Amino acid sequence: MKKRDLKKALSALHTIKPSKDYARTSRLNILLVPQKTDTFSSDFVVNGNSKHSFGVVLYANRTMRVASFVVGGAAIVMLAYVATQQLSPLFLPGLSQTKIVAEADSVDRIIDIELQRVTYFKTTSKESSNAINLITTKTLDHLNDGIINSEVQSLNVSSTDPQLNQNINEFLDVINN
Amino acid sequence: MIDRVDLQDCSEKELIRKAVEGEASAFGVLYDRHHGAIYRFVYLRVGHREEAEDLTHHVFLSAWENMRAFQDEGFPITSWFYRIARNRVVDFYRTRRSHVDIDRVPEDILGLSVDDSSQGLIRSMELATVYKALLQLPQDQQDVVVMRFINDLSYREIAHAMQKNEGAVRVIQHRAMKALRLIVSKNTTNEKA
Repeated sequence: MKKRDLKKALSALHTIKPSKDYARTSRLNILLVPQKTDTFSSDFVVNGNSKHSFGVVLYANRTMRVASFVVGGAAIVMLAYVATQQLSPLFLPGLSQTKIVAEADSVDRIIDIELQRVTYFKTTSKESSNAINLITTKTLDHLNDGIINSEVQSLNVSSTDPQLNQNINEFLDVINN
Repeated sequence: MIDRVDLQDCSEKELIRKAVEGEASAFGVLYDRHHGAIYRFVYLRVGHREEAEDLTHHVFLSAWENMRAFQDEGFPITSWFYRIARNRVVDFYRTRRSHVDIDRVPEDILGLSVDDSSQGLIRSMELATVYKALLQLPQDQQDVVVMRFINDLSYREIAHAMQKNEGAVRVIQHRAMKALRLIVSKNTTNEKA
């Protein structure tokens, strides 16, 4: 096909037209819609005519407002997160809360064991002290005269042997000294 | 009725000024003047009557709703309508249909040659072949071919609608016509074989 024939064929497509009914209905429906007082619309901006600067300014203004809200919200969330993490007394880098609790439990158990040992030593030292005190004192209760006499009486020791009495006295003198 | 007649006589600049001020009847006249061309542009891009009607309706609805922000740059308002239409078509393919069936020729195109004679049938086949070839071009090339050779826009208007300079539009047109001729001749050879 020659270029001229091609152009002729293309120009024949010029006779395509919408139906009259559609055109009438569409026109009526469009003109019943009120014009926008706000000049912004997505269609309008997408068409991108730089002369329509007012619409573009409104669009930019809205975008900036939305963007500032988003950025502000994100900053607040980040600050809250950082404050929670960094200012927490439990915060140690590389340690999780579970590990810290486990470690605290372990320390608690060691302290309990130490307390039990202290109580045990306290009891045994008191008893040892009493025993040592009893042993080292010179006025021993079991050597007082009343007890000896009562023991002598219970034994019914009666001797007239002077040598035996002499020996006993010497023995008692040694013990008392 | 008198107002309607008066508005029909108004210049496009005057109609735009009135429409920007919120005068619905002025926009109505702009609609009457340009909706046919925008519908044709959309129809040739999507190849389906109902979808073309729906998209064209939304093009003019969007234009009317945003009319207050329109500023006259010395270009016909059609450039603005085409720009909205192009975006609507792009959205259409992005969200609703990923491709167009190039083997299906709409009845509206087949019916353009209403003559039942053998010449009419040949003409009808020829139109179908050209239409199918058009659909195989890249989007930019389709836009330029439709705007330039079917809707008779000037290079300046096309450049403004496509947000390109006139030189770029001429390059796209050259490539489009070359590709179109190649596809048509290839398809014709295949059909004959």
